[in-house]
Amino acid sequence: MSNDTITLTVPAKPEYVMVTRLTSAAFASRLGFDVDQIEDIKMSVAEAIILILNQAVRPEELLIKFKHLDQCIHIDITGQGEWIETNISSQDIDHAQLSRYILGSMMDEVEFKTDNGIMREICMHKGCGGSS
Amino acid sequence: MDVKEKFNPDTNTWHVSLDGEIDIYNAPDLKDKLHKLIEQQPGNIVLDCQNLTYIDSTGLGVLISALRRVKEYDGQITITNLKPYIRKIFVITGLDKIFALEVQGT
Repeated sequence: MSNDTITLTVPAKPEYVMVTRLTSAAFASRLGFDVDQIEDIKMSVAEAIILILNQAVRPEELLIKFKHLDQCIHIDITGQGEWIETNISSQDIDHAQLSRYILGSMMDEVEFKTDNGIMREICMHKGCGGSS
Repeated sequence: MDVKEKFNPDTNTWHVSLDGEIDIYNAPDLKDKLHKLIEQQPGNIVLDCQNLTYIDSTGLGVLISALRRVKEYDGQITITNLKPYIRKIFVITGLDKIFALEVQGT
């Protein structure tokens, strides 16, 4: 299964985050991760999306790439399309630190790519517990 | 997500059970619900999470927001019956030091 990739595009709306959680859990399970690791991956994908959505502007859609490489799952989440203003509260923006704590703890490595203070892309990976 | 609440006037406490998943989509509904309970009767809150299967950072944010309101009248929020995996999220974010937590099975 090495190098197998799944690409998912969803509207950048809260109601579609569940779709990405389910997809990430299914792919991680196929790669042989254990139950706790699958929960970590599922949650990390959701938190990365929350970081991109809960900003002063948000993209039209999200491109999510899952890749199996060198016994790791690599996940890239990119906002694309037109970026539109949101009416998100400053309190919700303050809670972004929670997402960062969770991502930093649950994934082996996380890279945040910002442009003019806007989170555009998040790349992360986690080592695999199995070889199926 | 399903929320059920019952008020105990003897202890001035809302007992709220959370069922299912709390995420960025339904967290605003939970926020409205908790804030309405606090406005209706300012009391302590016990959140029963026995059937809570998932909570993300927006859900945690709602709980922090509710705690801020409850602290205004020196009330408290206690979170009970957390599944170990969900307790881990509270620990990672440091919220185990802010809320009184009780883990499922202990």
